[in-house]
Amino acid sequence: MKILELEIKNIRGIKSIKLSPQGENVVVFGPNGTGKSAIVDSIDFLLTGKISRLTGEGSKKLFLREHGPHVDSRNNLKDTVVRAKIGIENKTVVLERSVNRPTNLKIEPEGDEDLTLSYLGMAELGQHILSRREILRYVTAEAGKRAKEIQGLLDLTEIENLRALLVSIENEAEGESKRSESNFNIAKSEISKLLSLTQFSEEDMVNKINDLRAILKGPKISLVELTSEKIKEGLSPSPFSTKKGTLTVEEIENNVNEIRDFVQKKDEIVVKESELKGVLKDILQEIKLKQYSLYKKLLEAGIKLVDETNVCPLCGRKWEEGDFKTFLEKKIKETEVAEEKQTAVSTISSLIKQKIDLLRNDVETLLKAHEQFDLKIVDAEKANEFLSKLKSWSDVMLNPTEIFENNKWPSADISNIFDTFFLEDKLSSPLESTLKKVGEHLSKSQIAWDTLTKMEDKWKRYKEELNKKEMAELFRNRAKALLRHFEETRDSVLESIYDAIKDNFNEYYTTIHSEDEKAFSSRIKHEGAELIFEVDFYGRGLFPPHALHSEGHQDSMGVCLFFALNKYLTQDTIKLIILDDVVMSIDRSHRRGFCSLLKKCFPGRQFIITTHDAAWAKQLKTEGVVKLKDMIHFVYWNIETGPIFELEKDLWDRIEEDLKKNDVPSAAHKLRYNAECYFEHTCDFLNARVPYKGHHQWELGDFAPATISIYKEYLKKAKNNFQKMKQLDRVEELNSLEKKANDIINKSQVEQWIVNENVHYNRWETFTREDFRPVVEAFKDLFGLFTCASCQSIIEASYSKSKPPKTIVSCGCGKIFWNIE
Amino acid sequence: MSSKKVSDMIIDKLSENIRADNLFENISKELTNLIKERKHNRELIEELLKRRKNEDTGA
Repeated sequence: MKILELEIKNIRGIKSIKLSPQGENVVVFGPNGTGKSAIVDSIDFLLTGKISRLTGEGSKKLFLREHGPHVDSRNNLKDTVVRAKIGIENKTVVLERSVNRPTNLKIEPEGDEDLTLSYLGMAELGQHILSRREILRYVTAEAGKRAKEIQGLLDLTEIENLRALLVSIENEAEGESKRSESNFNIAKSEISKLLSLTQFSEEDMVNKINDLRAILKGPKISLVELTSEKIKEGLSPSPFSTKKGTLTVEEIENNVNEIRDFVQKKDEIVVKESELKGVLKDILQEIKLKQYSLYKKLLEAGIKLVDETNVCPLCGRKWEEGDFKTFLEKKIKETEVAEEKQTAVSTISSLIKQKIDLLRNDVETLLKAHEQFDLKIVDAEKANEFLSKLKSWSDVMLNPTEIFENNKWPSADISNIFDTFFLEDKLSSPLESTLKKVGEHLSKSQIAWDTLTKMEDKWKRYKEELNKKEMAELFRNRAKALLRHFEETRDSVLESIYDAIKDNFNEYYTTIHSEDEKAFSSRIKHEGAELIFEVDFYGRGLFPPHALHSEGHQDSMGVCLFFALNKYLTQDTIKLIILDDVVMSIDRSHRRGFCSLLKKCFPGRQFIITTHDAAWAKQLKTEGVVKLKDMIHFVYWNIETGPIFELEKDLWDRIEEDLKKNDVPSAAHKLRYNAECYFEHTCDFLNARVPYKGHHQWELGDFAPATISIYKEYLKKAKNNFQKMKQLDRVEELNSLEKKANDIINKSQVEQWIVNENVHYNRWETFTREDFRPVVEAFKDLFGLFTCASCQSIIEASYSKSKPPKTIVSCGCGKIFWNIE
Repeated sequence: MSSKKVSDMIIDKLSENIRADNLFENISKELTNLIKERKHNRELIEELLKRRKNEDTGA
């Protein structure tokens, strides 16, 4: 998908603009505030229906309808339109979108909608625009934040939302499981207390029920047939039947005894709580203990990768023989300790919770007993306060790690819940005295009847709680498994993506930095919620990208990472890439590498590049990335007209315009200035030897002869090489070129002094345009010697990958290709 | 042109893994449908995860 023509009306800073790139690379350059980014926003809007700049962080109060149109067109949205002729798979399609109806994309001709929309679906991934603010956000970000940024680029927001939901469901399931386990224990405990069982078992329970049924002359029932209705089946109703909710004497006594037992053994809980805090402290002090399962996985993978070289697969450090494996095995042992600690937290917190919940249930039961006997000893407010205290400790035990990590652990001592004055003096002792009197009036039959009556409810509750516990266990196991599947799947998919991206990233980065970082490598690895991105620093190991590399290198990394992601995610189908002011920190020589990257690695792409740096725009042309006709110079902007722009004119046309006006000084200045810039480039490209100057100021008289000298040397060597290869037609071709070059060089050397004097000594008044035109022609021919007529790039000397490397002189399109050795 | 969003790739693979796990035997179809159709609704997912293996769905 490439842009052939583009028309923008009333979008952002643009009033009206028409461009015709015809699928070629374009550079839009000019000072800040001239409307360059509005081109980017308009293309973004056309392809996606959104303007990325108006979304995301810091854009809370920005809206497409209000801030997308030109500021004067906010009330006339119908006239805010982006229209483009697009080339897709050898077809030409016209797309049109208006801010008035941003979701409505007009596609012509009819019949190409599906094809077009499939490409636009790709564009919606947001992989076609890279701006400077996006580069650093994932190059320098912290590992956790970077993961989020890259996930944003990979459009993983919904995946992260799903993960958050599954984590939350898992927490809920874990809590529900703990709660239901505790409730089930209470149900068992209530039966034990009602039937005076020392330890609950269903068998002992049925035996006890049958003992009570025997007192009432009833037949035995089995556990298999036990239901709530069966408990009193076949028994004659008692003439003194009590109210259903009334507590039996035995029940109250057993509750009193259980509370006393708790108080007596309160030290056990205090010790357990202290033990729990100790384990939590250990876990939170070391991240590895908290994420032991991930850490263990990493170490196990590491052990598999250890070979006879004993080199660490992650950092590249070389170990003494055997030491590395021993080290990893020791670390794995440490993760086993972590696993034990995590299990300990779960076990201890469950135990404390169960004890507290049982105590709470006992207290509630005894408060009912107080009501039953109308004792009026316990203050209701005090009782509620005590019960709340128990509940808050019980809640702590539901999620102890999070509470401890967030410093929300109760400051009061847990031993306070065993308030002897309340539990003994206010609650238990008064009941005990009362029971002594009540117990004397009840017969064995009455007690049996009352107990079985209560057992009907207790058994029903037991079955319900058992059912809930089983359901909660299933829920917890499934929630855990679902989260585990999700995380394993996400990690494996992302790792495969990152591996592919890493290979492309390394290739792109070494293309830009071929001179200073040839043996570059990197690591992109997903670890839990973090994305580790580390890069080699001159063979000294892997470091975060912003640790040791310069800002310019970081910019290169950002661009390369974007390209690598783009290539992977769009499967190379989106041919359009927009680079919005992205190479600002990269120096000129690395910008050459950047141009090589665009030309070599993305030959079929259309790049739309914006920059405020005119030198960079010109370099893009001299390097053969953009053609002169595709250089759009945004000169000025005002609110009424939008950007005032001009297509960059050819130097010779501009000089001719001056000469037509008989303005020789301007023409001479242009020639002198541009020739100096041009020959500085050619010296750089051809590795020419420029005489050293202590004041570091070179001029045309230094650059031009150095270029000519090296050019002649290359030409001669190339000719000899073709001679050796017996490629006589090429020898003949270079013979003609050599002759033509000598003529041109001689002519320009003769004329060069005129330009010098003309500019430096202000003698231009004495020259006419007729005097100056031959100079211009001579330089035009001279420039032509070092520029490819086809691709317009300056020829360049580089080294082949062969051993030993050979010097090659070539142009961007390969039409000029000389082997120099 | 065939290219999948990364989120689709993850969700497709996750669905495969859910289907292969016996724990989700009676709910895998409905659960994977919820996930694939982006009905990431807490109540619906919880309800499914709580459904017993022999429970009649009434569907």
